[in-house]
This record gives sequence, C-alpha cells and structure tokens, in this order.
Amino acid sequence: MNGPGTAFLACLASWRDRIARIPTAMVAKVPRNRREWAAWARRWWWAAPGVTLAAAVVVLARGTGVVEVPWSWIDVRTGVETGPGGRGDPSELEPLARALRDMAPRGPYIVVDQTNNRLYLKEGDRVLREAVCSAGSGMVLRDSEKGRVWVFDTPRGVFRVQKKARNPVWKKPDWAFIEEGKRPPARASDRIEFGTLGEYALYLGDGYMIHGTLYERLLGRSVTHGCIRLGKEDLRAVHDAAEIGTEVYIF
Amino acid sequence: MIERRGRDRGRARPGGRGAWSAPAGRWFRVAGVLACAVACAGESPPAPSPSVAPRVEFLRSLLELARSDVLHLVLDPDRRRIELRLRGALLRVHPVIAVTRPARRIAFLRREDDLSWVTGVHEHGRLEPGRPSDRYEVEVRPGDPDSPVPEARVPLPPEEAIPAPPTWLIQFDDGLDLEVVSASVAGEDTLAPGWWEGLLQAVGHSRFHGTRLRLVLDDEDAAALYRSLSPDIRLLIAPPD
Repeated sequence: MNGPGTAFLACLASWRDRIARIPTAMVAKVPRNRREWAAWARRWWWAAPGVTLAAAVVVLARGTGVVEVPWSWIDVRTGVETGPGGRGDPSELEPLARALRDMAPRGPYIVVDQTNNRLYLKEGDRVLREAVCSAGSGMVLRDSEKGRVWVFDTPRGVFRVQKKARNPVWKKPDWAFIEEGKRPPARASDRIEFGTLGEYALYLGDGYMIHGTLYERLLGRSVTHGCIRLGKEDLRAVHDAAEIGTEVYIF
Repeated sequence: MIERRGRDRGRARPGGRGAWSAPAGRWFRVAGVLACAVACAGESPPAPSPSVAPRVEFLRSLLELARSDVLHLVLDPDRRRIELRLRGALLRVHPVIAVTRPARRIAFLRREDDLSWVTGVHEHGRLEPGRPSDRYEVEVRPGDPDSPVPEARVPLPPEEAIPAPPTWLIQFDDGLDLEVVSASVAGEDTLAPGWWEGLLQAVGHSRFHGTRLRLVLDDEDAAALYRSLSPDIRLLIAPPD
C-alpha cells in the first residue's frame, strides 16, 4: 500500500532505528586509552548538546508535571475504571453518617473556649447563647512549707454536668488559704463560704464547676483557679438549659 | 465540457476527482470507514458514576477522630467553613472567605500538586509562630509573716495578652501547611512559597514543606482561631460534594 502515510511511517521507523542504535554504537567499543578517548570524542561530539538538552527537558518535565504516567485504576471486583481510591460503595455512606450523628450531643450542650474566655450554649449547629466567661489563670502556686504544687488550669476535654445547685456553698480547698498566706484550718466549718460562687453552680467533677462571681468586672480575663465563671444572667440561662448529664466541651 | 478558469486553469485533475492522489484518497476512505465502524460498534460505555470513595473515606476518618479525645479541625472548602470538633460535637465554626493553594510555575508552566492528601488526617499540627505562654509561678510559705503573699494580678484580656499575627501557619507532620491570613492583609504578600520552591522540588532538593493551603478568614475569626488552637491539633479536609 503506497501513500503519504506509509512513507511517513517508514521515515519515522527509519529514524527511530537510527536513533536507537546511537547509544549502542557509542559504547560498542569502550575507549581504553587517551588516544581512543580522543577518537571517541571526535566521533560523538555532536551528541553532547543533544544529551544536555534531553537532560534539561527531563528535569523540567519532571518539575512541571508535563510528564505523567497515565495511571488508570481498575476496581478488582467489577473491572470498571475508577479513581485511585476506587469508586466506593454508596451504601456505606449512610451508616457512617448515622454513626457520626449518634456521637453528636442530643439536646443543648455547653462549649467553653477557655483561651478566648467565651462560653457557648449550643444545640446542634445553633448557638443559643454566647457569654463572656473567665477560665483558669495558668498560675502555678507552690506551698514551700509542704512542697505542694497547684496549677490553676481549666482542663480541656469532655465533661458532664454531674450536679446542679442553687445558692451553692463553697468549701474552700487548701490552696485558697495558701494563696492568702494562711494555713488551712483544721475544722471543716472554717472552710465554708457563702455567696462566693454566685447564684448557681454546675458541678463537672474533680472540683471543677461553672459558677457565678462577685467580680463581674473581671469576666473575659483568665483569672480563675480552673473553674468557669459566668455573669449572673448568663449563669441563670445556662443553669436553666442544662440538665444532669449535659455535655460540657472545654477547649 | 466545463471550462476551468482562474486558479484551477492548467492544473492536472487526474480522473476528474480532486487535488488528492488516488492512494491518498484511498487512505481517507479507509480512515472514514474505520471511524464510522468505531462510532457504530456496540453501545458507548456508560458514563462512570461519580466516585463516593473520597466521601466514604472522609466519613470514616471523621468517625475515627470523633471516637478519640483529640480536638480536630474540619475544613470544608465547598461550604467555605472551618469547624472545630471534639467527640462528634461541633464546637466552633469559622466562615472562610477564601481557600486557595499556590500553583507553582516552572519555566512558565504550571505544576499541579498531588491531591492525595485531601482525605487523609493531618496530624500533630503546630502553630507557627507559637503562642506565648502566660504561665507564672508563685511560692508561698503559709503562716510566715515574712513570706510575700501574691498580689491580686489582673491579666490582660486575651486579645491583648495573646496578639495574633496577621498571617500564621499550622504545620502538620505530613508536610501540609495551613496558612491562615486575616482578611485585612489578604492582598499582601504572604508566606506562600515562591517559584523557586517548585524548582528545588523538581530537582529533588527541597527544604520547604509541601502543599500549602491558604485560608482567608475575617480578622476576628483568624485571631480567635489562633488563640484557641490546642497543641497537636489534627485536620481533616472534606472532599468536594
């Protein structure tokens, strides 16, 4: 069959064969001495620019992503071409989404951003109330007499409201006396203080709670010993919305 | 007989057919027949349905994170938001004004980054620059009148105590950098890598981190996010819907 296509293909094949023979010819007779190396260089000097150019093209092509291996990914079960991760099973989506929904808190929950001193009362994606609060100061208190150390951080994590109280009574812990330069009293009744915690308190466990304050002007600053302080109105709203078991997320 | 005029005059027209030679005409006919045969042969393959694999993988990773006690960020470029989550609960949502990633150019050509990171969990995020620590220490000897009692210290509000830089990064172990830019400086130069980074990577020598995503957030959101991120944060990027 004659024609321009045949001629073109034959021409291509001819040049392909010639080019393919070049590397073989270049190393067919390995130069062994200086004279042979000089002869080799005289014969092949014209290849140097080509080799340099080819190397530059390879580096640039690799860098620019022009050269790509045309991968295709086949699902071994169906034989259908898919993406690298496979096509996936749509029926898997719903159980995963349901499992995620089940993990989300039901009903109102409390979120505390302790660095920014903000408390959010939320339900689902909605913010029901945003309040300015105060969180732990980060102070380290050392009792040089007994060697005890307290770190006044608000803990991060998930807590639950364990108890709700109206007009809570504060049983002052040892650090509250040490901080004032006093020795903790022996009698428990000497530790009782009324009104310090405000109108309500939500107990989170380990001595941490959300409570009120006598110093509302300090709200928004990190001044507490680890508890969360709220203003009067916000505390009432949070107290009314929260139930025993309500999740409190502190970050 | 038709008289030929103008430019056609004097040209050979073998067989009264066109300007192509007979073999070339045969080639074109054969090619045409083959093209028709290919076009008509059987049904065209069904269009592949969109892959749900990235979404499944994303939900799996999200569920795994929700079952852990680790605070994590979920970036959803489609919905233009970044969420802070813990144990399945949505803690904060920050609207994102723009999500971009730099496309490197080498020799005037664009180099596309590998997108395999999209569904993975990026771990051990570190803030760059780091936040200053405001921890301070007080030592008291109770009952000793000579021991100083700590004075009531009124700390600065967080906005002043921890000023957020206009541009900051979360660097993850796998090489992903998340660059957060306040909207007020979004038009200015950022920490985005220059073309030289791509060139260095092309020759296999890069001291830079890999893909850098750039989020433009409202100034207050960017600052609040900077202050509130805990160490060792994780990131998950939602695939396109």
